[in-house]
Amino acid sequence: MITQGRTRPGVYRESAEVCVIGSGAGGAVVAAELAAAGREVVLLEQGGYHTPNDFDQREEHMLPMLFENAGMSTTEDGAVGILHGRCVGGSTVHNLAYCFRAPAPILALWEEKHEVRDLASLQDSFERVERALGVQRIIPEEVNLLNRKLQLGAERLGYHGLVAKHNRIGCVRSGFCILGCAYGSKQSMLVTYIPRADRAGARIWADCRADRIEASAPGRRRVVATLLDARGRAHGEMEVEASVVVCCAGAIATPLLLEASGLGNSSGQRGRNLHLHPTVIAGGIFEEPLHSYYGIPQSYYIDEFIDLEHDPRSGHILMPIAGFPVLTASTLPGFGRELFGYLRDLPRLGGLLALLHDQSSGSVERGSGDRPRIRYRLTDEDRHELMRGLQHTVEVLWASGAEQVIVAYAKDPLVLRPEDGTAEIKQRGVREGAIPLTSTHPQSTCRMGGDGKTSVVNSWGELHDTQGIFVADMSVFPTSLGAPPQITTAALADRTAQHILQRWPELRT
Amino acid sequence: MKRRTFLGLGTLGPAMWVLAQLPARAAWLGGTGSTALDATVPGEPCVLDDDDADLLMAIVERMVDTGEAGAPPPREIGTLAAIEGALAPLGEALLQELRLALRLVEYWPVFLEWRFGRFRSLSPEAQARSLEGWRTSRIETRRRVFYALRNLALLGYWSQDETWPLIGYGGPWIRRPT
Ligand SMILES: Cc1cc2nc3c(=O)[nH]c(=O)nc-3n(C[C@H](O)[C@H](O)[C@H](O)COP(=O)(O)OP(=O)(O)OC[C@H]3O[C@@H](n4cnc5c(N)ncnc54)[C@H](O)[C@@H]3O)c2cc1C
Repeated sequence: MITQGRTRPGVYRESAEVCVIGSGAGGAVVAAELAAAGREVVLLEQGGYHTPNDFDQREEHMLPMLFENAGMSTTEDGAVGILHGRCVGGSTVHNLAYCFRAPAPILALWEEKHEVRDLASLQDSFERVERALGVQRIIPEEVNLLNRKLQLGAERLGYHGLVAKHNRIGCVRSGFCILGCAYGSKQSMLVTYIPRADRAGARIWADCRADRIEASAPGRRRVVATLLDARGRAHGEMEVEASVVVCCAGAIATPLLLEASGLGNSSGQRGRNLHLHPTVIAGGIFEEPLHSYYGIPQSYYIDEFIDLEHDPRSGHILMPIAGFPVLTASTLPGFGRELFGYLRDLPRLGGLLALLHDQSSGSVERGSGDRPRIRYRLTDEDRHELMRGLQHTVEVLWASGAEQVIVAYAKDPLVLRPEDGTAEIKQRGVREGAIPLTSTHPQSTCRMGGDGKTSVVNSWGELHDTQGIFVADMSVFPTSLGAPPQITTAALADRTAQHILQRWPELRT
Repeated sequence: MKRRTFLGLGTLGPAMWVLAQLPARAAWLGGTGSTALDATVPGEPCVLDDDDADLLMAIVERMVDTGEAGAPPPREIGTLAAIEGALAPLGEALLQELRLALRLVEYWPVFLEWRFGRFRSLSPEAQARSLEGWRTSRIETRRRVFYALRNLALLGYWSQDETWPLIGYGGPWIRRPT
C-alpha cells in the first residue's frame, strides 16, 4: 500500500522486519526484493508520490515536484549545481535512462584496492536488474537529430563512441524524460520496482522524512521520521520499529542521516570521499533548427577520452545535452538582453557535456538548520582534465556542423567559431566559479570496503560499526564510477538485498 | 564554527544584520508602498508578502529583459505564481534567506554604492548595472545571491507559454489542464 503522508497528519507507529529509507535506484530495489521474498517491509520516502498522469512536461511544475530544492541545490561555494531527486522513485523518475554496468577495471579496483569481496556475485544482480528495467540497446531510428550530428562529428574526428542502452519500453520519443515520463515508458523505479514492492505487501509512506535511526539494542532498531505536508512542512510523526534498517537516501542524504543518528563513523570516513562526476557544457549553434529538446535526449556516448584499462582513475566522457527553456537558460551566460541573445536561438542550440571521472573529492555534513553543507574542490589534475574535456566538446560540436559554440565563462563568455580554435579555453582553463559546473551523480560518501578503518560499510553494505544497519545507494561506491551510475546502484542494492535474505535468521535476532 | 547558509549570507556579517532589521518597504528610503500583484494563480501558494513579491518582480524584470517590443511583461503573465510554486516546498529557513537576499539587493545601492535610492527606485539601466555588480562581485556570497535570483527569474519567466514564441519553443507535447 502506498500512503501519501501529505494527506495524513497525525502520529503513527509501524512495526516491520525491515525499514528501507529512500525509494530511488537503491531503495526501491531493496524494498521489492525483500518484500517479494516474504519479509515485512516499510519504505519511507521524503518526496511525494506522483504518477505519470501528474507529469505535464512543464518545467515550473516538474522541477519543484521531482527535484530536491526544485533543482537549485549547490555546493557550499555555489560552484557546482547538484541535481537529485525527491519523489517516490528518486532520481530515476527524471533521469535520462542511459544504462551502463560498472566498468570491469573499476570493479577490479574496488576488489584490489578497497578489498570489496565477492563482486562476482554482482553479475547476477546486473542481469536481474536489467531484466526488471527492460534494458535494451537504443535502435538507430530512436536517435534524434542532435545525437546523430554529434555521432557524425565524433566519427569525422576519429573519436570512439557508441549508441548506448536504455531502459525505455514503447518510447514515443517526446524527449521530456528529465521532467518525468508522462507516458510511463521510461522504466524508472516508479513504474517497475515500486509497484512490485507494493504488490508484495511493502507498506510505502511518501512525504515521510527519516530524521534519525536509534540503534540501542541489537536486533531492535527504531527509525524516527516526520510526516510532511504538500509544502514540505512537518504535520505528523512516524516511528518504525524494525530488525534491519537499509539507508538508501542517496549520497547527500544518507551520510547526513547517519550523522544525525551518531552512526557509521568509526573510520572517520562518513560523509567524506564525495565524488560528483562534475560536468562542463558547451552549447553549439547550428545553421538549421534541430529542436534537440525533442526526441531521446541522450543516446550517443563518446568514450574516446577514458581508458580505464590503462588508468582506472581518470578520464572524461562526452554526452549530448539539450534542454527546455528554463534548463537551457540557466546554463547560458549573463542576464537580460545578453542572455536573451543566446536563448533566442533555442531551436538551433544543441549541447555537449564533458563528464569527469573525478579523483577530486569533497564532503557532506550537517550545516546550520540541519541543511547539508556540501564541500568540493577540484584538484589541479582534474581541472586540467575538465579543461581538455571542454576543448573536446567544442571540437566535436564544430565537426558536427555547429557554426558557433558558446562557452559560458561567467566573465566574458566565449563564442567561438572553428577558425578560432580552442587555445583560449586552454589559457582560461576550468576553475570553480569561473564556469558553471553541474553534477547529477553525487556518490561515495559512505564508501564500501573490506577495512573498517578506511571505509564506512563492508562488502555487502552493512555498517562496519553497527550490525543490522545497511547502506544501499550511490554512496557506497568506493571510488568514482566513471560511467552513468543507475544500473550499478540498483545492482549493488540487489546484491545487498540477497545478502540480507541469506543472513536473515541471524539478522532478525 | 563559521555560520554558513543556503546562500552563504552569513558571510556578510554585520551588513546582513543591519539589513535584516529593515522592513522591505522603508518609507524613508523612498518606498512607495506595495503594489498589488495579480499574477498569483488562485490556489497557488503565496509565500512572499506583497512587498517582497514586488521587489522580486522588479529584479525579475531586469533579469529577463529581452529588449523586444513584443515581449510579455513578467508581471502580466504567470511569472510570480511559477516562482512561488518553486519556493513553496523549500521550507521557512530558506525563504527567510531569500527575503534577506532581496533586502540586500534593494538596499545595496544606498549603503554600498552611495546612491540616493533603493534598487526599485533606480532607472532600468542603473538597475542592470547594480545587478551586474552582483554578478561580477569579488565576494562569493554576492555572486551566489545573483545566481539564486537569476535562477528564480528564469524559471518564472521562461516557463510561461506567452514567452515561448520569442525563442521558438513549441511547448509540451501533451496538454493537460494546469
Ligand atoms: C538529471 C539526472 C539525469 C540522470 N541520468 C542518468 C542516466 O541517464 N543514467 C544513469 O545511469 N544515471 C543517471 N542519473 C543518476 C541516477 O538517477 C542515480 O545514480 C540513481 O538514481 C541514484 O540512486 P540512489 O538510490 O542513490 O538515490 P536516488 O535515486 O536519488 O534516491 C534517493 C531517494 O531518497 C529520498 N530521501 C532522501 N533523504 C531522505 C530521508 N531523510 N528520508 C526519506 N527519504 C529520503 C530522496 O527523496 C530520493 O527520492 C541521473 C541523475 C539525474 C539527477
